[in-house]
Amino acid sequence: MTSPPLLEVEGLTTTFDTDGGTLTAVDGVDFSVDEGETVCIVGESGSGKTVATESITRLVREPPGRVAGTVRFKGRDLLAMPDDELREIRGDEIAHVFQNPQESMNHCYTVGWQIAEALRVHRDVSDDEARARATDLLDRVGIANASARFDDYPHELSGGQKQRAMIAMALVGDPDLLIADEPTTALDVTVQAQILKLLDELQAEFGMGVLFVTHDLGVVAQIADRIVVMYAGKVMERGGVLDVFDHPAHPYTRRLLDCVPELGGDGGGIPGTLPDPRDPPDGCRFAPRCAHAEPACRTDGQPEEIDVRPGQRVSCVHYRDGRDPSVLGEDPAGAGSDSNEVTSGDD
Amino acid sequence: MGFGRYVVARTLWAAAVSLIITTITFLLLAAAPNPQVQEAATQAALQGGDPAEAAERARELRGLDEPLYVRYADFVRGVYTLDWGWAESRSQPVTEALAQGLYYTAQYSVPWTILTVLIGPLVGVYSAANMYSWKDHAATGFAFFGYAIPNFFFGIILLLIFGVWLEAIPIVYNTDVPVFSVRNAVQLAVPVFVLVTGSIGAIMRVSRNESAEFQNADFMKTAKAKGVSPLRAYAYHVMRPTLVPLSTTLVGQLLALFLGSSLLVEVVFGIPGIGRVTYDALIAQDTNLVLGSTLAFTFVAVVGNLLEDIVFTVLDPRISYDDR
Repeated sequence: MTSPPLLEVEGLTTTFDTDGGTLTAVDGVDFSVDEGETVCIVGESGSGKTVATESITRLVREPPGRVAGTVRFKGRDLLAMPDDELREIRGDEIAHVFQNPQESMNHCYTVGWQIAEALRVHRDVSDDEARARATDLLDRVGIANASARFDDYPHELSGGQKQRAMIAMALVGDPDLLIADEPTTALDVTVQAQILKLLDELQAEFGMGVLFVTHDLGVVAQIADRIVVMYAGKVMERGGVLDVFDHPAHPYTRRLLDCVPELGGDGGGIPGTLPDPRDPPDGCRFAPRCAHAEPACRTDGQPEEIDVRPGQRVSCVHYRDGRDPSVLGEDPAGAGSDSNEVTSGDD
Repeated sequence: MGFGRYVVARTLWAAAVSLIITTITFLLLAAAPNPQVQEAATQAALQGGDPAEAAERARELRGLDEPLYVRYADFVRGVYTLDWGWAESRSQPVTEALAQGLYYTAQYSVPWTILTVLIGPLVGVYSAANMYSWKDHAATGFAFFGYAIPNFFFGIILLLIFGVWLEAIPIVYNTDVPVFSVRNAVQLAVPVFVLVTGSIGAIMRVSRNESAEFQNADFMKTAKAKGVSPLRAYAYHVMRPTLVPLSTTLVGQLLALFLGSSLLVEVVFGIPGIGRVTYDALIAQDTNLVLGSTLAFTFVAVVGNLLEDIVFTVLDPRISYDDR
């Protein structure tokens, strides 16, 4: 019997009340992260990845947001606990790194002050101790001359340096889980590689579980242990990164991999657009854009997840008992051979 | 350029501005006919003397026969050494008359300024935090009311209610009361309240709208993710950036009110402050005193703007001192 996962998310549902009706951004999503493991949530923009991760520690603004389901972290349900208890966990046991380092720091305070703040709100430390720890981390995340940069304001740092500082801020409480939401998206390519390498090293050093959100499958290949493919607020497929990359089962995963030239795809997009989150299609969310959709795909909600390989599960009717998944094309291994067959969706 | 050099440069510029103002004042004064010289000429004519000779004598007596640049140098020296001349209407030096007025003006100006500066931003940020709730609407209503109603009119109404009908406050300001006493606080409460409502509206609105932007900023999400409590997040991460744009509004508002509304409020409540001194000098056509109070107000404005610029750079670290 293995120990329970570090983070266990079940039936996570996040809705937003808008003037145009209730918008369901995340719809009954399950996933888990083990200690020291990296799990990547992938999917195109608007698929609910960010909202899902921000719902874990209830960073989502409530109202208009509403988060339901259970999020067990070290056995405690984060969604059921009072705010002040959850606040103890935020930034201490669970830390976040966000997408846009340019906007994620307050322009009125020095970088060091903001890093030290994360420590000060959780521990009773002296100014000197907080400064020493923050400087130490700035140094650790690769900022040269850290003790001098402590007193710099965010606008005096480059984008890459800012993201390094944000990572230092996240690590200051020695978290058990790091949630990184597209931390490299706003950075240029050379810096991206450095930040990824840094995160990889830090994960080993700090022994953290990492939940990594990205739409960049090239990044996933580098860092992930397991991957969760999301589309329109639902999980389409999940599994070990090698299994999913070598044997993508869901048509959406296959299309997604086709989009990445580095993985052997043709770099083309997926025709059609995401469904309206206020009025999602019945049946499989991807059916309107799927070349292999049939009547069974359009009713009875998102199909149940079916094991296709140990640890790899897919939500697609074609894998049900008695069905032949080869209609989806032979296991493409990311070759992107049949992308021409994709028809445009329902619009 | 470092901060120190910026402050020095900005201060020198403020000094230059004050000199320009002094110069313009002098030129206007030199170009205008001097009523005392005309009076001397009229007197001479009435008594059968030579009006031209009498005018000449009057001019000599006041040094007006000197060349313009000598008179200018004297005038500037006088302004900067606080030798502002004799206030005929009050039979005392102008500076003394102004100092006496300031003594009373400060008694209500210091409280209303402190109250406005403390309460305005707090209520504004609170309003933003509860945007579109009844609390926000109530604060907004109060802000617009104070902003819209003329101070002197509001003062008269309150004086009527509390002074005449309820007889809770004296109708005429009593200068015999000690500065730090309950009676003085009671008689100043209404003017202070009137000025606070007049000044706080704009400050509340600016704080509310600016902080509304910052409370939705990404760095607030960062703060929340760090485990910062909502109260601390508002105090540090919303209030602080809000103070940057607010500092400009704040100084402008306070100066406008100090220079403008104070006079009306002093007249309504009968406070013998600096506004009242100016008003009486205007009625009595006491040129030196009018000039003195005008210069005093102008210098307050120059110093206020100087402080505003310095505070602005201290509050917003992104402002560069270069090219200024």
